Amino acid sequence: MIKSPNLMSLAEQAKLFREGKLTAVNNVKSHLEIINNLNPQLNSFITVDSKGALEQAKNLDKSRNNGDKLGPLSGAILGVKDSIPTKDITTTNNSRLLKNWNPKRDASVISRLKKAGAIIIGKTNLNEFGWSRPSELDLNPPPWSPWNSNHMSVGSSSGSGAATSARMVSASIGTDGGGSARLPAGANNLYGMKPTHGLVSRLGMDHNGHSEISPLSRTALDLALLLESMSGFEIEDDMSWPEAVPNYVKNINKDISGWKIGVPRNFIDSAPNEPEIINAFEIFLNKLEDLGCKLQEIDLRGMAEARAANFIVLNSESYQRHQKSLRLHWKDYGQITRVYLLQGAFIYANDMLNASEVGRAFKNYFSKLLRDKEIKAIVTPTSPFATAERSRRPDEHSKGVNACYTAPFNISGHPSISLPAGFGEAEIPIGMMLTGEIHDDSSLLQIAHAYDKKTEWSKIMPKLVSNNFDN
Amino acid sequence: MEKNFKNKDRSEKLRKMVPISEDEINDLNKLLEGVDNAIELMSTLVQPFDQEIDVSKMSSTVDGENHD
Repeated sequence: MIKSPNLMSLAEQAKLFREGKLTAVNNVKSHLEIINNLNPQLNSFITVDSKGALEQAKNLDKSRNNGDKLGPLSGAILGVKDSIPTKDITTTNNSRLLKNWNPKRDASVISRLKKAGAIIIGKTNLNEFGWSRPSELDLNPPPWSPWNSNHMSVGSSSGSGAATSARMVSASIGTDGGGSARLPAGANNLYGMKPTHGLVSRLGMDHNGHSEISPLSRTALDLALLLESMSGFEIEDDMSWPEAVPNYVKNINKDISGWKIGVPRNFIDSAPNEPEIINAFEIFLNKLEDLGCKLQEIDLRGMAEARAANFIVLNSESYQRHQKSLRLHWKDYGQITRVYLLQGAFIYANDMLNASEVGRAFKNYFSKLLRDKEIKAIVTPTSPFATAERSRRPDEHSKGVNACYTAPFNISGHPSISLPAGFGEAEIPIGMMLTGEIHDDSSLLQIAHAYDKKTEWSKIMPKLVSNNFDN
Repeated sequence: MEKNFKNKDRSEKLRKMVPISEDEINDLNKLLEGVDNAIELMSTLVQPFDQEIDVSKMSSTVDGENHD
């Protein structure tokens, strides 16, 4: 007897589908059942496209039965953050302003995922426009954590993280402008990756330069499968990387013993880390050593300045995109979001250019640090905080402290991955982060995969979810 | 004094732009303290024409301090 497909990884589901042991229609139905059971409580989805998903699944089953060539994600069920345009599925950005917006075409990343055989089952919840903070005043109320439903799900790809750990989807797609995919991955016992800038094109989305489209999954292998399918050059996107996509999946089993990992103790010790974060960090370091990695303390500079630069760029770009709509449709915006968006009205061109210059300097500095020390990656916690509520305390939130480890690598463009690493007192998962050299996304995936094989995190699911399954 | 003047100036600009409430202006002014701090932190780094930013001399802490 085959266990419920929801309990398998994306790679396992796709393998069973290719072997004819699982139909795409049954996989969709199984995931719809869990969505129907859990979404009313968790608010992970804004839109569930049952009809469209079943239609995609029927076509896939037909293709397989015809002996057609199948893509690497065939039969997998994906949730997509509702800020990424999807043809024929409403894309609200969780805003009243766009509550009826039906994009005329898919963002290029969605076209690539569909071509690889993925089934888009719906659109996942987020802070309005992926900005500001969770609010009951948004079009849809915020998602709750499946690990402890007294706590909010960490955002802004909050619905993507919750839906993936709750087995409502095989994996999900989020966006990460300052940690918005890595932070929810960490808080949901998932692998989440912000790829190198330009690897995954944002064509078809707004021009938000340092916000990368990012996969979240339950295993490192799933992350590699997704990234390989999402990546590729788009000639209409001036930020797109014009090189062939590396074989992330084929090369994932590389021996990582002897690889040097940098540990920036000086910086980590200065952050307001909660005790359970530090405990998990030390255990994570031991695990890296068990895998054969060599730890080396490094003096890491400029993280605060790079975070400030990313904050200025994010604010400027968000305001630029919304300036006209804010004037025309003020009342359609959430009361919190519209205030957040206006921050960019008080940033001058000179400030924006200073931010770009600081970002460029930090990018070159960090790459040189990795090269000079022959380091494959640096390791930090993903967040200093163990719950969404703690990270949103006004004094720390206004300074962006919750993104102190993540945001610097948005402005720099370096690839960065969050790995599951335990649980805090509230039973909310904790993530640890590895950040490596530009366009060496492969090494991060290889470390993550070696770690995944030697740990049990990817087998652990929320109690709320396991109650829905017999096995 | 300078902060009050800046906030007053900003409030006037905001009222001309959008139908914003006084409570929202107060909330925004608090958020803008974070923007001002970020701008200040970066502006100290800008170098004369013939020099470049030296990140190795930048801060070592989460608050942007240098503990050398």
